[in-house]
Amino acid sequence: MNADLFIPRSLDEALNVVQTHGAGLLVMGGGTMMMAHLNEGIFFPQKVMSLARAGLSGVYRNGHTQIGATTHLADVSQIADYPILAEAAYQIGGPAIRNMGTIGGNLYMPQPAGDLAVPLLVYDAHVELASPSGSRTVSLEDFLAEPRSHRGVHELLVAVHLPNPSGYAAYLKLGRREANTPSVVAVGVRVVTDKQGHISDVRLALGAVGSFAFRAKNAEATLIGQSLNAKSIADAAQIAMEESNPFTDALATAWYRRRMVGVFVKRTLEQLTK
Amino acid sequence: MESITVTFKLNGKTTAVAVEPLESLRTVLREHLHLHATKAGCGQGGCGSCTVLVNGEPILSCLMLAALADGQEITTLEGIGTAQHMHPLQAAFFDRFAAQCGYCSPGMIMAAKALLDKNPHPTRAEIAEALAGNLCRCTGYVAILDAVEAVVTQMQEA
Amino acid sequence: MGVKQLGIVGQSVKRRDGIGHVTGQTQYVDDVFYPGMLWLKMVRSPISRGIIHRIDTSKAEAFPGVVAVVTAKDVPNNWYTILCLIGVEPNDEPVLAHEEVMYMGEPICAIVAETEAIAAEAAGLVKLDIEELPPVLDMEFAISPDAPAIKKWGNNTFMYDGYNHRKLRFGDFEKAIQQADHVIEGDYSLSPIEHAPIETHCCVVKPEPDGRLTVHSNTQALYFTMDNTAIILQVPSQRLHMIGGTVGGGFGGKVDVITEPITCIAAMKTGRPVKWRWTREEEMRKSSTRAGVKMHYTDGVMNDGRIIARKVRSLEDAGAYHRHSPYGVQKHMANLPGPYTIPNVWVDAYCVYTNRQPSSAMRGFGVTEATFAVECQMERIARTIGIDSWEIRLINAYRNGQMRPVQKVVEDATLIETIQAAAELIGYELPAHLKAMSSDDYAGNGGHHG
Repeated sequence: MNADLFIPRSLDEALNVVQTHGAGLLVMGGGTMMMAHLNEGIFFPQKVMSLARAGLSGVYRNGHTQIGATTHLADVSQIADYPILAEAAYQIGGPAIRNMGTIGGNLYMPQPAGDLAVPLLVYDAHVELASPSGSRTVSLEDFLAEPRSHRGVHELLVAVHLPNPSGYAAYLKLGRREANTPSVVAVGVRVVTDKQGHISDVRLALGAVGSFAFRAKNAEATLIGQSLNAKSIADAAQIAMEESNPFTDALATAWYRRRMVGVFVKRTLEQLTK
Repeated sequence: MESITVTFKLNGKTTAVAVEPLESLRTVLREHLHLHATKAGCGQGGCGSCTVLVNGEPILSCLMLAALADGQEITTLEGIGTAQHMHPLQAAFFDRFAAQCGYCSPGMIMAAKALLDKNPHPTRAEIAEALAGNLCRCTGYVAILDAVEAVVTQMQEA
Repeated sequence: MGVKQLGIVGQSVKRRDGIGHVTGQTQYVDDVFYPGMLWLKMVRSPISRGIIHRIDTSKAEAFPGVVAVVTAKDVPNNWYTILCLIGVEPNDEPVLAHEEVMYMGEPICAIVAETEAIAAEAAGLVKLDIEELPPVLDMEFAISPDAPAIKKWGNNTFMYDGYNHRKLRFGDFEKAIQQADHVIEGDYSLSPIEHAPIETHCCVVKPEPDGRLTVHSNTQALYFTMDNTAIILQVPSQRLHMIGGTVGGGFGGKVDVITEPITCIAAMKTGRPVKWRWTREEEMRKSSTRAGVKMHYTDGVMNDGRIIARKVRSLEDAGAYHRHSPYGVQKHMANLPGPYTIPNVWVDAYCVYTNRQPSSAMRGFGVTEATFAVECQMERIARTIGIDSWEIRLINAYRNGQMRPVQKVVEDATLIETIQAAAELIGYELPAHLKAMSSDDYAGNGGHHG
C-alpha cells in the first residue's frame, strides 16, 4: 500500500494536484464514503487527495447563498433560511457523521444515500466546478445527470450556489429506522402561490427512487395553476409514482419504494396545507 | 510514499506517530498507539463504536484519515476516566447495566460526553438524538438512555 | 438452610466485567496483538454454485509481504461438520473448498501476510477458474423433482432416519380433520436474519515453543470450538490452549467454529502469530444466519374453539451446508404444534439445502420461528370463528399431566397462569371463567384427553 496522499492547503494547490495526478486520483471530501470502501478492502487507490484542509468550507451570503463544498453536514443543518436543506442535513447519519460528511461529498454519494440533492433541487441549486483550465457553473439537475467515476478527476466541485428562496417548502424522508439510515424515499417540495392561492411555481424532487435524485416534472406540471387540495395532491402523488424509477436493494424493494413515493409525496404536500 | 509523521494532542498529551498515508485514525489509535478502548465495529460509519472526540466534537475514527489528525486535539475513552477514577458517565453505565457485551460502550460514552459537554441539561429526546449514530446490538438502549439521564440529574443536583 | 444465608437472591449484583467494559479495558480478541503477528484474509467464492477447475495462487504468493497461502491441501481433515460429535452426517462442508463451491462467499483459500492491507490486496490476485452451475435458491424448487441434487447423497434435504423430512405423528389427523367444524389454513414465512454483533468474528492464534497453540477466540462455545478445531487439525485437544469468554455480541452467530481452524493452520504453517478478523460485509453476507422458514398450517377447529387437529408442513432453509440446521429442524418439529393440547397432530419438517449462505444457530432457532407461526395461526383461528384472543389460547393451553405430541407428559405448566398475569399487568379484565382456569384443571379445555 504505497499510496500517495495529498492534503492541499488551498484550492490552487488542489487544482495543481488535479493537473499533475488527476488521471488516477481519488478525491475525498469528508471521507465518509471513500474511507468505508478502503476499510472494506474494496479497492486500493494509489493516489488520494483530501480536500479537508483546502479552505473550501463556509457559508457566504452575497445576494445569493454560497456553500463551500467541504462545509460539514452539521453546519449545513444550521442554515436557517433554507429550512428543508437544514432539515435534510440533520436527518443524515448521527452527529459524528454530520461532523465529517460534507455537502459536496454528499452530491457524489450513490443512491439511496445523498439526500441533500433533494432539497438542493427544490431550491434551484447550481454547483461550481473548478478545473486547472477554469471553472464552470451548472445546474444541479444537469450535474446529477452527468456520468461520473470516482477514480480519475479533471475538475473539483468547490461550491453550491442557491438563489434566495421563495414560497413554502417541506421535506420528508422515509428510512427503515428513525435515524442513521439511508432513504427508502426522500421527498422535497417548494410551492409559490398567487393571491388566489393557486400554485404559480413548484419544485418537487425525489431521492432514492432513481439512479440519481431528480425533479418529478410531470407531477410539478399537474400542480401548476391548482390550489393544494385533496384532489390535486392525490393527482400529483399518482403521477410522481409513475415518474419514479425505483430500484431494489437491501433496504426496500422497488415495489415498496414506488408506493412510498405516492404516500410521501402526498404527506409532503399536505404539510404545506397546514 | 513513505509514512507521515503526525503530531496531535492525545488525551492531553502531545503525541507524535508515524502513520501510513491511508491509515484511519482508528487503526493508528488501536494498532500503533495501543489504545484499545476505541472499537472497530464496521469500518463503514454505521455503528459508532469507534467514536472519539476531535476538538471536542464526536467523529468516527474509522472514517478519518490519521494524517488529518495533525495539530488536532483528540480524546478517547481512555482519556476521560480509569477503573479507579471513572468519569460520571462510565460510573452510570456501570451502575445501571448500560453495558452488556460492552462493544458499543466506548462509542456510546464518547457520544454522550460530547453532548453533555455542550448541553449539560439535555432532554431524553436530545440524548437519543445525540446517540442516534451509535448501535447497541444487545439492544440495551433503554438502560443506556437511563444512564445518561442519571448523569444529567446528578449534575443538576450538584 | 435458613433464609438469612441467601446473600445474593433479591440483590442487584454488579457485573464482574462491567468496569472493564465502561473504561475500555476489557480485552476483546481484536485487542490482542503479538509482535510479528501476521494477518489473514480469505479468498471466497464469487458465485453461488460451481465446479472448481483451478485455483491459481502464484501471483498472490509472489506479492511482496505475503508469507503463506493456505489451501484445502493444508487442512489435515478437511471436513467442517460441527455436529459430527452428535451424529449429524454425512460430512458435507469442506473447511476450504477445492472441488465445488456451494454458496457465494464460501472460503477457498487464505492469504497470510505481514499486514492486513497486503493480505486483502493479495487476496484479489488469486485466480479462480470456476465453472458456474445454475444455483438452487428456492426451497420449494429444491425439493421438487426438477431441481438438480446439490448434495452428494442425491437430493436436497437432510435425511432423518431414511426420510427426507422429520415426521411427527400423534393421534389420527386424517380422521379428526373430517370431524372438525372449521378447517383453517395459514401460511407463514420468515426471511433469513443476520445476528449482526457489533464485534465481528475474530481469532488470534500464537504458536508456542512447546508445540501448543494459544487460541484467542470470540466463540460463544469454547469447548465445542476446541473439540471441532482438534478434529479438523487432527491434534489432541490438549495442544490447544483456548482463551475465550469475552464476546462482543453473539446471539448464536458465534457458535459455528468458523475462524479458529484456519487461523490455527496459518499459525502452524508460518510459525508466527496470526490474526483473522472479519469485515462488516463478511459478517453480514458470509457468516451464517437464522434460517429462512416457510410453514403451512391446516387446523381442524370446533365451534367452541377447541383445536382437535393440526397439520404442519415446514421448510427450513439450511443454506448450502448442515451447520446447526439438522438439529434446529428437530427442535422446530417439536415446537410446531405450539404449547397447546391438540389430540391429533401431523408434522412434516424439512431441512432443505440451497445454494445460499448457510444458516445456523440464533436465539431459539427452530423454536422462535414456530412460535411466530403458531401465534399468528391462533389469532387467525380466533378471528375466523369469532372467539376472543385470550379465550382461544386459554381453552387450548396445555395442562399438567397431558401428553404432548412428542410423547412427553406436560409437567410444571405455567402458560395459563402467565397469560392471566399478563392480562392483569396490562389492566385487562378476563371473564370469570377464564380467570378460574388453571394448569391443573382439565375441564377448561373441554375434556381434551389427559
